[in-house]
Amino acid sequence: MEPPRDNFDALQKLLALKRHEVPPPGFFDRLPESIRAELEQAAAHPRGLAGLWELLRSRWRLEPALAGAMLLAVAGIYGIALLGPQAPDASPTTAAAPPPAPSHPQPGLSITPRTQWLAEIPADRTNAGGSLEPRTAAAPPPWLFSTGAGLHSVPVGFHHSSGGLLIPEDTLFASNEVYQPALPGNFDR
Amino acid sequence: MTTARQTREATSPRAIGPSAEETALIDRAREGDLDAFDVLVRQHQERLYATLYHVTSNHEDAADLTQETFIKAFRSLARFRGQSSFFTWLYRIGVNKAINFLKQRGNRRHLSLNDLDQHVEHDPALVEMVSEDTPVRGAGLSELQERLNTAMQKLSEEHRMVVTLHDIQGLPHEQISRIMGCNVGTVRSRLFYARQQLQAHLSDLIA
Repeated sequence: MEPPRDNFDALQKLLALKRHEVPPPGFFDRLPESIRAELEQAAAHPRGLAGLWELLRSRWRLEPALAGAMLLAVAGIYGIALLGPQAPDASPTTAAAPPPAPSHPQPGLSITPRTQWLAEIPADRTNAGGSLEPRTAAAPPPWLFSTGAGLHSVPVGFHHSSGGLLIPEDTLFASNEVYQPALPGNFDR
Repeated sequence: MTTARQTREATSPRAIGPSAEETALIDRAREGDLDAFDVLVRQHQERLYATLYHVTSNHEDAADLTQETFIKAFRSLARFRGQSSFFTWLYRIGVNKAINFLKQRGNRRHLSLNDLDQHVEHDPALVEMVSEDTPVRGAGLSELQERLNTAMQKLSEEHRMVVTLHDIQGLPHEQISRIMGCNVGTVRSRLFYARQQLQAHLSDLIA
């Protein structure tokens, strides 16, 4: 449908003014040169990955995608951190089977090895390789269960005349010597 | 050496398809011949730049858009099948670029107007307006130019484009419809509405 006609003569005469707006002198000589230079530069430097990245940036808005990727990465790191300790530990020290129990116990050995009971359980009923497996097969240090082999206990008492402390001050610090207190007379037998 | 008139006739917007000479240039440019493409640029740059300048009212923006349009056209030459004139195909790229640019720019308008050429004082249309007893007579040319560009920038991108292509560039409705990808009726109604808007904005100058 033809729109209703109106009198736009004056407006069209006024719009004629815009036909006389011209760019600075020499502009139409420089423009083809700059276009050619741009095309030659693009031909000399193939786009490659950087060009592909620029193309993606120009075509799509990548900010939401980048934010989503960052969120996924952070969630992945948290997930690994949370699930990591619960995963089966496959390190050689824990995966090693307990030493086999001697088939014939030695006659002089009175203490059962700590892990012997494990050896007596069928393999399919043990937790071998699980997280409950002892982490080390090394023997405990000798002083752990052997009293008198390490630091000695020091007997103390109370003495009225010496301010209550019977341990000389020079023995308050670590010493391996067995303290022999000089008991007062009323303690002598 | 071809004159501007000969160039304009060779690249007439009313031509349906490219001429034989233009087809040869396009074929060579499609194979990467920058000399051939340079000839095409020189044939069409003035009209393309003018269109982009009138819709942006900014010389720097128009220059950038013109350059980007030609570069995109060169890279897209493989898709040009000759169903329309090269001019129409090139304009379609430029118009789409300009509309996208204007939509992104939004209200951040900054006028950067070109100077008026020396022939403006002899333009029959303007001489007639100035000779008559109209408000235009009292206004200077620079003031008229700024008022006109400010009013143009108040139109929507599509309306501004139609006014530019028809009332300033002189393209027929049919070709504008092919360039803008809409039917002729839409072009006519947009043109009518845009003129009404412009007339309202410039009512104090147009008696």
